Amino acid sequence: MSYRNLIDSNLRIAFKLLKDLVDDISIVKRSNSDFDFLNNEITASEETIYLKAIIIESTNSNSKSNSKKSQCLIQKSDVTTLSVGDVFNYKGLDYKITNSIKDDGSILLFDVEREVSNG
Amino acid sequence: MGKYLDLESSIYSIFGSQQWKAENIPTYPSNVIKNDSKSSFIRLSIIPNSNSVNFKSISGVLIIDIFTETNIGTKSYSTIADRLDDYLVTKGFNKNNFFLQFKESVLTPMGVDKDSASLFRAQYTITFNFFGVD
Repeated sequence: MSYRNLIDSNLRIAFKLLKDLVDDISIVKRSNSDFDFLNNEITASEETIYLKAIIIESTNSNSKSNSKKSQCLIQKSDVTTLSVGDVFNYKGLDYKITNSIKDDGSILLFDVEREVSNG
Repeated sequence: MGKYLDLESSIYSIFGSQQWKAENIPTYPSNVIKNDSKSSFIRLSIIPNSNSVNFKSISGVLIIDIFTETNIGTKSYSTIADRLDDYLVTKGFNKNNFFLQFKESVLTPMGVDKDSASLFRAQYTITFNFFGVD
């Protein structure tokens, strides 16, 4: 077994051992996007991927914005690539993947953000 | 539609034309995240920043960021700027009850893009007047 496969395999075991600390999420990946200037809309193909993620930490809004940021960790083999702007759905809520995707070859660590009510 | 959407629609119709598509220069508006691997493309920003002759008219600037690969010299962005000139400089466009008139252009090399060191950004700027019937 190659080192890469060994790491992926051990990661999968680690995700199982973490039990309820791992959440079911989905990611809507947009690809081949183009902009239709005549209809003023994006044309793209979308693919929804269902996978497991660990939500590491969340930060609530500050005085200048009313958003919630979370940091997430997933196995790279579940998704291959991510792009800024892809939609991350967690507990029924859509988040946007923001401009921080760290890739160590086996794990993707990234930030997601959404607007929240302050009520 | 209001004047801002009318203006946007007038400018976008230029870049949605078959003629412009045949130029094969990938074109995006602002607030669209490009997710392909093209290293030569342009991004439009419409800045309607000055009043004009009536409530339905406005003047402003069309800023087009031209992105090309770094470390390949200036020819690629100058070529794209020349193509933009062919479509825009001193050209007038009629659409419904509106008339869009472009003036002269300016090209400013901005340097390596702050968000991606693999891209060089030059800024093509052209002023316009947009006339609507009040």
